[in-house]
Amino acid sequence: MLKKLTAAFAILLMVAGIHSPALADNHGEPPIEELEAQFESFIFPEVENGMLTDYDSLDRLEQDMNGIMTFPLTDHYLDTYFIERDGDVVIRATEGPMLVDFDQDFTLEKVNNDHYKLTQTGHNQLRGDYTIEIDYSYEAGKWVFVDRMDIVGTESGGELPDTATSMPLMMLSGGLLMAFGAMMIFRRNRVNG
Amino acid sequence: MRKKLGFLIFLIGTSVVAWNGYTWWDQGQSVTHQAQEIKQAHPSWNEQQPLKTVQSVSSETHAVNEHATGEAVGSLDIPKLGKGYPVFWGSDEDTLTKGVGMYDSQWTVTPNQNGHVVLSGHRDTVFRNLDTLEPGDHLYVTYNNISYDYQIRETWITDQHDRSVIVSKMKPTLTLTTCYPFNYIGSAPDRYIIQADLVAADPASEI
Repeated sequence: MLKKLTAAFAILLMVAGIHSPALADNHGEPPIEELEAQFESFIFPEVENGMLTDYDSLDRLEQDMNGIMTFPLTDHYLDTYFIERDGDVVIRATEGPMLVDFDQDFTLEKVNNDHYKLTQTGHNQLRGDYTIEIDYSYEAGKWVFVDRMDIVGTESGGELPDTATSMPLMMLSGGLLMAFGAMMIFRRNRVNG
Repeated sequence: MRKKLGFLIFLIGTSVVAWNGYTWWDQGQSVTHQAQEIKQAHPSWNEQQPLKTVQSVSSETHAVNEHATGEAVGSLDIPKLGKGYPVFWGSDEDTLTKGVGMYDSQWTVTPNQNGHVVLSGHRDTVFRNLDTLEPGDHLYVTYNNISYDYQIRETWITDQHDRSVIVSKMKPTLTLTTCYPFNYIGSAPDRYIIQADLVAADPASEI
């Protein structure tokens, strides 16, 4: 019975997977200026003594930010720019992200009906040459940011050292292997029993 | 048969976890946690107001470095974190497993010369909690028995391929680089940058 249910569920998923792109509507272009204004209001909010005037918890800020971007991106911006301290949300003392300057040239490329990509290159007095790349995605009936990256500087210097380690990932993989192995041993024992 | 295979997979998984766990732990051992001693050795560590930048540290601007890759060349103390790190020459994979690496390139120098000193470290073994540092905090690099006091001016996050960070500088500047996001599992796509200016240079005191 369980096998039949699993098979039915798998078939349902396959059918949904095959048909969903075909059913995709044309949602037009994302409202880039409106989204950028909302992004600016979240990242450069009104502050008093470094504390946000409109928010007293990161949860509330997260809830509102999720209205214009996908969760991993919200998480990134909250981690990078804000701290919650004694019932207040405080802005971290770090350089903010670049914003799109709509008075300057930019390109908006349609990747598909649900995905657009904006690119702008420019020059900033403080940080020199930069490129902004923003990906918009149509999710749950509206356009949201799914990724945005500032690539600052085209000046040719040294490559940043590879300070990433794969040890936590390897440990996680090892843990999964252990769980899988234990499951095989356990299942065999149960069949024997 | 299935039980044997399951046992083998379990054993391989255990080995992978044990080996990587040990390597992770072992690499973190290069960091010393002597908060009290490190703070005492650098009495000015808590001066948060911006101090005047030292524009020139030496008349020697083109000294030849004769360090071998992986050689211990000095140390880095961060009193705010209560941590001290050994610094090794180079920033290749092997050197970074020992501790903090001093970048060797045409754009960078050692602390006793005018220019850009770059130190790099793994975020999950040596440079943990680096994101808690803020402009105004002090970083102390000991090199050739001189303690160089740098004050953080700016921190930012950039793409791993950004070639505008490790560039030549005229005044004595220290840059720390590590991976970002700090809690990312896998090869982190960004880099966390901390840039500081030299504010003092004194004979090093023993910790």
